[in-house]
Amino acid sequence: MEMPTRIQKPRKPIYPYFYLLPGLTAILFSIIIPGAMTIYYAFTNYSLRHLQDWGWIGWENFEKIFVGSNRGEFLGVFSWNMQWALISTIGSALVGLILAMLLNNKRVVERNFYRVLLILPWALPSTITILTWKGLFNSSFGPINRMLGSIGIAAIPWLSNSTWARATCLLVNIWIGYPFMMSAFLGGLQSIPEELYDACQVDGANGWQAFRHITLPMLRSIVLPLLVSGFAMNFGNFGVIYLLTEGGPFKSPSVLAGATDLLSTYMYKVAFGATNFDYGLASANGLLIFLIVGSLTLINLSMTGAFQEVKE
Amino acid sequence: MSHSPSVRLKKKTRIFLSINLTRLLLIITCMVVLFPIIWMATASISKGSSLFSSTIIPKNITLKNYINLFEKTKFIKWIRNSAIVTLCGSLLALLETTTMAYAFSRFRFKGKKNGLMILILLQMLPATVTIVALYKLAVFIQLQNTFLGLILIYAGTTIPFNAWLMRGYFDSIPFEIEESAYLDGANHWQAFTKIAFPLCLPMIVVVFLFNMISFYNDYYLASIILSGNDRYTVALGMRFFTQPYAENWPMFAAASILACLPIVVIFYSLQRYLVQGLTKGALKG
Amino acid sequence: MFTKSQWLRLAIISVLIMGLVAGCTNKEEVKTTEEAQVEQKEPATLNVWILDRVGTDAMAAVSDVIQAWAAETGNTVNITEGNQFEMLNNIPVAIPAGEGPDVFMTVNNYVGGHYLGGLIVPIQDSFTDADSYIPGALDAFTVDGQLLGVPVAADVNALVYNKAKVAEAPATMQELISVSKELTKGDEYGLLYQIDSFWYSYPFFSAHGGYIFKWTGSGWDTSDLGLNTSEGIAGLQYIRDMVTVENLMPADTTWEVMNAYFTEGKSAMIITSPTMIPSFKEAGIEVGVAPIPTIEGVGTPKPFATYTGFSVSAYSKYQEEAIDLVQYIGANSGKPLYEANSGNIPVYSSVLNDSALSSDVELAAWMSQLANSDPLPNIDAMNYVWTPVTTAFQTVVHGEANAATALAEAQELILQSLQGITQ
Repeated sequence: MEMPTRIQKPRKPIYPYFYLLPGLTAILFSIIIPGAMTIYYAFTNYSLRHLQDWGWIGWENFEKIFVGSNRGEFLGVFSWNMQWALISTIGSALVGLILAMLLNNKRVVERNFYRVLLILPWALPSTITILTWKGLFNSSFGPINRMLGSIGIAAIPWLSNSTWARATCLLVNIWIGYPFMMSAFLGGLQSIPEELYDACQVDGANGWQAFRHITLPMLRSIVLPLLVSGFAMNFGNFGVIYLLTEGGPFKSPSVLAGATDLLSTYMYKVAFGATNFDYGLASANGLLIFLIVGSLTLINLSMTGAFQEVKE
Repeated sequence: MSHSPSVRLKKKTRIFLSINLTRLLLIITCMVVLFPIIWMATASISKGSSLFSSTIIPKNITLKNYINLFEKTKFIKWIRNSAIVTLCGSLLALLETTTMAYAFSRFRFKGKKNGLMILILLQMLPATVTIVALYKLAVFIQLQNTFLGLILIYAGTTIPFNAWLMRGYFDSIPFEIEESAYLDGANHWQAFTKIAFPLCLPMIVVVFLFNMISFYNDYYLASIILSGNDRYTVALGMRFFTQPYAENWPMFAAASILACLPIVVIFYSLQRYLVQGLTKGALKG
Repeated sequence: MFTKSQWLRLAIISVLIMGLVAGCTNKEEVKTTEEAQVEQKEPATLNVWILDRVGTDAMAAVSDVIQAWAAETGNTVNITEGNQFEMLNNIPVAIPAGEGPDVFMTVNNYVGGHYLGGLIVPIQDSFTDADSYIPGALDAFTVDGQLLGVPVAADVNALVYNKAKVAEAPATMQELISVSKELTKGDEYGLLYQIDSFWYSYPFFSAHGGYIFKWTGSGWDTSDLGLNTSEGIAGLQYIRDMVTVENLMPADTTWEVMNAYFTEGKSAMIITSPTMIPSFKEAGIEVGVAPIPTIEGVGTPKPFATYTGFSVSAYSKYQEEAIDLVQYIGANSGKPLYEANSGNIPVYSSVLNDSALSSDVELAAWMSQLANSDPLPNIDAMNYVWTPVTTAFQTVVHGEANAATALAEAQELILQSLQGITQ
């Protein structure tokens, strides 16, 4: 609800648009027009073979995805993509929350030092860190398995077994994603008045009850928007899989998709694999991903109420 | 309430335990989390050609990878290009985002209800697909292979989500302060620039930081708009080290460590605001 | 400093002189009239893209060659250096948009697609130098009988060994395996390479008679696949046996591991391309190069070869000059490219007879491997080959499938996908 005081605020019809104009112009040129062009491309055969004579082909690109030679792969990739986005988002939020609570212990005097270190995965270019993880996780030569080996644990096929590879990818993605969540939670925790906890203690509540009835509700409004946008971002992630496994390990019968392929990496192979450039097909795939992410986001928003203030 | 000495002692031990348990957990986490980063730093000072070394302590320490970076690549130029694009892009985005967010928070206009959400949904069209359209558009408006073109695109693509965050922050600032300015004869622009904008500083820093990090690490948009070694940004230039035919991991590691320094420094100096900005904006009920 | 008009005058004079010199020395009369026509033309301005693929120093070397052409002909050349993937991925959008280069460095597996898209022009009609290139180099740039680029360097995998560990390269694979077994103990290996990769293991597959598409002499027959054949199966089994029977190396050896171990002296022999040699030498390894030895009683391993070259944009306003430039680059950049970075194996015959290079034993080894190599098919049907073939190689080498089933499945999938495309 609007605050009653705002009823009196100046209400001329035109000037609000002056404030919107710079932003809307930028959005028009960098999101709306390219977006519209991309949607149009999705229904054309714009590709390396038809650079000069490309034109409207209707639903053919979508048919290629669902009923063409690659049929069946899309659904498998999609279901893993959902799991990936859910686990990554919740996982990095959980890790971020736990670390934020540890860091929020004011009695640990050097906590800023830890915070500085723990934020590094966000600050480093992810290309190099992902490639480093790839080396560390090699099952025969990787330092991780060697260390495990020295304490008597058999080699784990981190990246060469389908199930393990998925877990490893998730681990790396959470490693990249938690610092952002941690920073947000830390901000939230610091904004909770100390008195609330004191009062709680007087009432004889234990730590878990304090967490359940004070911390979580107070953090909710911070978490929800970040979870919703985090989900959308993870859903469309490209770099982690592309650099870590290239979609592999592969299992027969896969034409293009491997065990860890996400829609984005799969789409990339479909449209730009080898020296093939099929912009129409890529756009159709992109449009599909957009429709999926968009509707999931809408569902998320209405379920969690994270966006209520905007809708009012 | 008074405690008997034994209870007080118990409480002291409990606090002592909790501090050190927290400390222990944090140290362990740091070690786990920093493991790959230490590995990478080691590679950047080791001889040879591989990031994947079989020992964590390099046998031969060398600074050659760092020296090569400056002598054999255009690293300094890339950093300069990145600085231009990142700073200008972030500033422009900030200007556009703030005015838009302010309008969504304070004014009434057609489309206020669902406008922002529609924009946020539009933002979710994957950039990996729209790059071809962006390229054609950039050629059409004659900004292909210019920093200005990239800056405009950067600024545009991040507005919706950030405007949402910032709108929440403006909402949390009581309107009464501006109201009193209006009573003193100020117009809406003065109310915005003199009162609301300064009050919004923590959130402005947050948005600035988010944008900076994402522009600085961007590869896709830069790769389609900028062309040629002299125009590359750091993220784009560093691709040179990851080619299958010329993979040079130590140099890549060295470049990454140097490249992340500006971000780390800016991040830490602005960290205080980051916490404030995120909190207030989102905590608005 | 020269003013603009002085530059112009200088340019015109040099064009005239060049034209005269060319006209006097040229033995072909037909050429002379052509040169005369060029003489009257306005100097052209050409945009040239070169790729980091050849190495930083080599980019400078090839730039010098291009500028020398500009100075000789009086034309102007603007050179843009860039990243291979970024530049080549931009070609299909940049060239039609008028933002592309007139001449650009390319890789032979791209030319098929670029030609289909009408981005590059065939140059065989004005190409006078065909006999000067080593066999195979021009074929790699030929699609449907059209020459689509001029090669400047080749890249191929061969056996690279540490002389301190293996005094001389083994003559046969049988010998290599027994030598390797002796050297493999603990964390040290005799032979180490990315064995589960189709790309790196292909030589042993081809030695047995396996192939991807049949080469008809003028093109690739995409209906004739050589994966699910008795030869192909035997090839993949041979590769698998190196892991499971001979225990030479773990199945998940990666490229990075191989380089690290070789650099640290913990691997005696590897299979790699010439680009890596300088860094091995820098690390103090005594490097030897030899062709991958024959499998006695079976055949000679043939790795894939790829070629770097230059193509001419179909949208260039200066076709004649551009074609002249690529020929010039082809004839003059072999030696400087190799000297700047030994990863660029020369393909211009006269360069190989150069006194400085003819005694280069390493180069001789790369050349003899190149003579025993298979070109990588330069058609876009390859897009549907990589994943199925990679799957087959990975699962078999890791012991998760048997060679016959895996290759049968791979071949079936590829044929299905290709049918889907042509329909």
